[in-house]
Amino acid sequence: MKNSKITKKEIRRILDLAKITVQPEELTKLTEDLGDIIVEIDKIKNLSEDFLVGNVIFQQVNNQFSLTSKKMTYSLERIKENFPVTEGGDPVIPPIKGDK
Amino acid sequence: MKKLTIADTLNSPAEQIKNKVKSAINNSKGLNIFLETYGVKPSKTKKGCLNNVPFSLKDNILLEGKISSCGSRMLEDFVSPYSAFVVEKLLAAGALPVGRTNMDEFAMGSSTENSAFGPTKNPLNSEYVPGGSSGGAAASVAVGSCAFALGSDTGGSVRQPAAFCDLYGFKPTYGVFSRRGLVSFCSSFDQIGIIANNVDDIITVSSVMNDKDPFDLTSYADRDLQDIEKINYDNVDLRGKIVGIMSGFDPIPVSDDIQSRYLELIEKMSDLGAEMVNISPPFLENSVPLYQILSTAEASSNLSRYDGIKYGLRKEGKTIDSMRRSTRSFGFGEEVKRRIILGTYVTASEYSEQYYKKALKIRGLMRKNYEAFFSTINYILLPTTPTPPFRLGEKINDPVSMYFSDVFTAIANILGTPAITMPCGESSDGLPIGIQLMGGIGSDLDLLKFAGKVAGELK
Repeated sequence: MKNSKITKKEIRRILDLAKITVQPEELTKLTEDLGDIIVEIDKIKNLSEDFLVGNVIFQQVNNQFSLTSKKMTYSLERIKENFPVTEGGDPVIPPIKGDK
Repeated sequence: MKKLTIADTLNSPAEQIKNKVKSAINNSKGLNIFLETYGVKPSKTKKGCLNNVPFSLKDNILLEGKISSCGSRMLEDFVSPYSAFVVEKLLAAGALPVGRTNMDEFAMGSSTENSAFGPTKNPLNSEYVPGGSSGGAAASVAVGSCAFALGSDTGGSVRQPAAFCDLYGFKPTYGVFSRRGLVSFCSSFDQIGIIANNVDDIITVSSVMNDKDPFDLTSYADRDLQDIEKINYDNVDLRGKIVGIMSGFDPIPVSDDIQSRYLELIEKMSDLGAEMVNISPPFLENSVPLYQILSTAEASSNLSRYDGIKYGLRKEGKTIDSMRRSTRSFGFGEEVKRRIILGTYVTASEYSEQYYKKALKIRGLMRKNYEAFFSTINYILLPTTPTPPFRLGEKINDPVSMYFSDVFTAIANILGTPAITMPCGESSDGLPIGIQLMGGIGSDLDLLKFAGKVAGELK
């Protein structure tokens, strides 16, 4: 088996947490597959905090020809329309279908 | 294959539609599209704007009294106790459900090969996959058995199969369609979506399905969408609209055919007056690993309810614990187990800070970034998939490569924004290619009108 980012022992522990049992051959394949997937998700783990902070600042798009700026906003009316129905300040819980 | 549209259906006698649907279903049996058909029973009285319009349901959307198995042995005999909110709306408007369609188990997959009931084949070429996880839904429209199909889109599961079957596929802003009656996979990404033969049909169906549902507090009424009538595309102007495009996809490998169709579409849209601007969508290359962490984390929690006690399958065991383990081990397929384990791993106490919590932080930053993007541009144009349809079995043993199919679609689910895929020619092998337009939060109707105008100009 190729070097994996995760061991069979660790997979067995996770399987126990997830309440799943697998056959020995299934465990080997699972360990290999998860090893490959963990290499991918490690890209997130390895992103530096500086990168995250740097990207909070919006990356300027190359729209120097643009004359208009459009921002999607909701009117107060529209927000109110979608607010839960309340009674005495508390949201009204709708009756469960079929209950009398 | 004669495709069906809503206009065809409304303008034809009910008996004729019934025969068309029956013959399309019978002729496509070898493709394994439907897990169950309901029989078409047209109504003699007019109910609403979708009177006797046939539609199909993905196997994870509930219809009262009918089985919803989610393509899994776990729910093989599960009978829905109620109908999904959007299904109730469609039935009230007169639409006719023709059957439930095959899917990747619990919507986990990009090829419809992960179904416990066998793979679905692509109606355009049966050696290829129809995409997934709503592969059966897309195929049901492609063979002409219905005018539209309901699917679910958690990472691209409506748009990718629509692109692979040469159709239109729409995922709305998170909350436009209630999720009540959609079996949960990843609750913060899941959205019901529509697959159809044209944008007008998607608009009509969206206007029927949208409403605030008191049982899903993330849903909301969009009055613009609800009140829409026939669109006059003469009044829709591409001029003045700013569309963000990518001048290159590096480091994402994209097939040459798709790059060519993408560039051609950019040129056409530019000729029609849209302003095309180069952008570099932030975090795009990290969207798949981010999606994998967040979606599997939620899936491992959502699927913990399948323990043999309340829902679906139960395998006997000497103790409650052994019963639960044998039920889950037998009931779930390989891909579902893989994702539950990954989700359990990334949320385990010793790893959650590095994976799950960090991914949540990045999703928050991405939303801020893209909100800023959409305050300046109207839409982003992206390929729907990095490759045209692939062969059955080609990627089934390579999960990383399969997950990569979602590289351009998962971003709309991470952000909660609307996106629509449109057919855009074919590859050198004659396989369909889809291109995707994405808009800002709440811009659903605007995006659909724009896509409809572009589609009309391309014909």
